[in-house]
Amino acid sequence: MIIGVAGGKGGVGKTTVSLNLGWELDGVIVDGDLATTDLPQNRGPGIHDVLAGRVDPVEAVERIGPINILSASYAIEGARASDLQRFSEAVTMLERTYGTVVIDCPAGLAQDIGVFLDSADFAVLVTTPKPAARADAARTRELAIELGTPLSSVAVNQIFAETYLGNSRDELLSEIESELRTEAIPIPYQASVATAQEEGKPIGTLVPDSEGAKQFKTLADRQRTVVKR
Amino acid sequence: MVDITTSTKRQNGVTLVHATVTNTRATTQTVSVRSQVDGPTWLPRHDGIPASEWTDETWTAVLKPGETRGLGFATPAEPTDSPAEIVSVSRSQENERNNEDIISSLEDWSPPNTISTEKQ
Repeated sequence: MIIGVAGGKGGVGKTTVSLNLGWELDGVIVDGDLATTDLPQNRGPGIHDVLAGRVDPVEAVERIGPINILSASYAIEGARASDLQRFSEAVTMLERTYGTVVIDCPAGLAQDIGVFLDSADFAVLVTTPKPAARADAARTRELAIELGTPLSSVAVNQIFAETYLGNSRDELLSEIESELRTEAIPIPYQASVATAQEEGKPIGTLVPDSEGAKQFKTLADRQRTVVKR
Repeated sequence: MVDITTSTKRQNGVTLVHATVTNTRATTQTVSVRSQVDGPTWLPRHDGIPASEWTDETWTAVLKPGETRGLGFATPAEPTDSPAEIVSVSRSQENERNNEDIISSLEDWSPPNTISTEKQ
């Protein structure tokens, strides 16, 4: 399965979700954020070389700690030769080897997002409870639907245990579910999630018993049921 | 796959056939459904013109993933268990072109200068 993790707005936690989902599903994470990557970096060839037709995508995957990643970090001469039309074939090749591919999409709604979502079997949206993030997620949802890529879940990141703007957590989640017409899975705001992100490691490897780790596991389980459907 | 469910209602010597077709696949499909009744198929008409999905006794439409569409016709023939059947399903080429159009209508993309100049 090929999952696009997208949300429109920057800083909502797409990379955190991609990293944890990729690890939970034992797949490969593709860094689609060609300009401002947040994922761990390698020193070998990356997605730019794949898109320039210089490297086989499977060979460009690196194991960094517990995760498999096709990174976007390393600067390469002639990155402008990157051809998005090679993307779909590349992720299909990765899927054959790894079974699961998680595409960490960048912010915005430019052509790169369009290509990534078009290449995905389905999309996981990421948002925070903030109205601006939800509005961007809704626009991303519209694009995905237009491209014929169904949504599987929306991960609501940085959610507090108490309330937000006068709503309880449950009220907030059901509001987001009706806005985005997709099942919402809350990812708690926790120090352990932040620490794991800073270290570039899945929270399940650092604090496996935490609420954050449990929620990422729930998110991963949902994707498995989508596949079976 | 693409599913069809049908129902019939007989009144005043006419059988009304209703069908819903659902595309459960992840890609857009072109679906054709054909009347299987033992008698004439009376197509839905607006101002005397048959609905655009119909050609003779075959209804053809493009269904997006997850989309359900309904169709119906009338016939003087008696109701049967299977008054309409799917006769063909194919992945829609129309959708492929549409996606290219959708993507090219988005904001232009190119790798930023910093990637090609830094860290050499």
